[in-house]
Amino acid sequence: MSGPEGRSDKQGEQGDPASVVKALLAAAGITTTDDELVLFGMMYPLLRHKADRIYELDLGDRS
Amino acid sequence: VTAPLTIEEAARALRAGATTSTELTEECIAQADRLDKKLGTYLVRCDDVARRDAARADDELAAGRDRGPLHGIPLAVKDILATDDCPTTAQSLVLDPTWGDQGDAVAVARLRAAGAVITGKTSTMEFAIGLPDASKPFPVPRNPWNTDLWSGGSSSGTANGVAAGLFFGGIGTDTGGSIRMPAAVCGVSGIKPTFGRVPKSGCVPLSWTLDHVGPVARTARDCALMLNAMAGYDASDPLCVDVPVPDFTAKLDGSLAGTRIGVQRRHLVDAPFVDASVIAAFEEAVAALAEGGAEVVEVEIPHYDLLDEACPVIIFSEAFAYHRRSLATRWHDFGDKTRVMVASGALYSGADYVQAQRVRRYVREQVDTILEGVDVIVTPTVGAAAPAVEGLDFLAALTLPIFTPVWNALGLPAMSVPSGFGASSMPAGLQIAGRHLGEATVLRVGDAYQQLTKWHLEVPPLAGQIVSNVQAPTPGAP
Repeated sequence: MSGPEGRSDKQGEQGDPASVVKALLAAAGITTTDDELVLFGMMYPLLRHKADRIYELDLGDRS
Repeated sequence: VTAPLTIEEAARALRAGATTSTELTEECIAQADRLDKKLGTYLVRCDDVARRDAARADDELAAGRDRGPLHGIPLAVKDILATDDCPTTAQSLVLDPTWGDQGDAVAVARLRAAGAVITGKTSTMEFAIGLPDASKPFPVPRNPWNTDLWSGGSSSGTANGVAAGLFFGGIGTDTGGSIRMPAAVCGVSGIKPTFGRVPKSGCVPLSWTLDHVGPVARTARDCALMLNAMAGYDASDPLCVDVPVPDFTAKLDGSLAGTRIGVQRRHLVDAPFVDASVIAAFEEAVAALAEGGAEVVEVEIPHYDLLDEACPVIIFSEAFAYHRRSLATRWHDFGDKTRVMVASGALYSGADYVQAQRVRRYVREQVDTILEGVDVIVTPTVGAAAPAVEGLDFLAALTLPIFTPVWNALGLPAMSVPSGFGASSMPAGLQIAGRHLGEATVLRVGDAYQQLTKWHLEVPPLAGQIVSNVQAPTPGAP
């Protein structure tokens, strides 16, 4: 199942994970250490996979 | 003579003239002198204030003014709730030191009004998230059953202090299991009430739509006594529910007759890293409830796993909203694990947050329907022993199987009661969840279970050796 637009929210799917994370955090004014960026880069695909799963539930027009 | 182990016993002893609040408080202070450094229970001890308030409680009782069952009872407060006479840090260098100057949090003020003696502020994880961090100038909470292991969190010091006899009960907060998980792994009881049942005013927020304030104590009955004082509407919390508060002890009659208990097993079986001994302890607890007269039926919460996935989206998004400015300016003042966890909220989209809330509402409707057919739903609280303190990292934390967060998302009351010993001979917890505003039934089932078993009376050897005259049962023999 999917959302009404037929796809899940795939924010930041493009690019290598660490670069995506760096950009997202930079947009919030956050600068991390290089080690943390590596950690974020490892976490990000799993985090996105888990978040994308919640779109498997087709809730139609429900609020 | 046996020293009181529970609030109920202590209250009875006070009124029988067998002890005084001052004596109870001095025993708790002595226990803290012996164990606090080893257990990392307190961020701040308020010995002088506690002595003053205990003397006042004794004077009041002597003068015939009895404020009720919490009168003169030493209790502690998790250090993310503001208190008049102790600083509030949220175990963080980042929190504005003046934040706690607002005066007692509503829940704290209510305990004081009920006569409780506040002994101090207990350890947590930074901002009730993150992990123990020895690099910061705060205690690292340890498990009184095995001090190499973590006490769980984030109401870490509240739970380990109750277990080890540093106080009789305490306030915890629970956003994804932070009352129930440490209660389970430390072998004590704790209840997360219905969302909004206890005002959150004066509590440092972690996740506004998931945060709950509730009691931790040795027994379900003690939790009911504390909740009686803590619950009720207050306009200072816009998410507080304005409904009458029942006497949560009124139905604690030990009876399970006519009670239908739903057992949620499938997601226990599906969950990775669950220890077989925890499942065995859970099945024994279910059998005890059935033998006690309850009707046990299988239930399955639809989309449980998706709701479980929705929880971190909500927690981290809301936590990031609260901390974003601080993360940008004071990154290195946060603990290294805290800042990574909270900043992960930046990696979700607005759509993710909305969808998580939609999933939450939808599953709540399904669970409400299930709860029309059963009085409570039971699961294990935690599926494995607490991890070791040394080397505790994201992997260890993320692989700890917990069955608590969905009940935060559902907003329904859920408690943990000790249910024996499981993985690594460490305490196991039985989680009992109920209907919206159904704390009385949850507590009734928890109390009935505790009348059928004695797991809640187990005292860690570390504490039992020095708690005066308490006979510690042999672990494994209820």
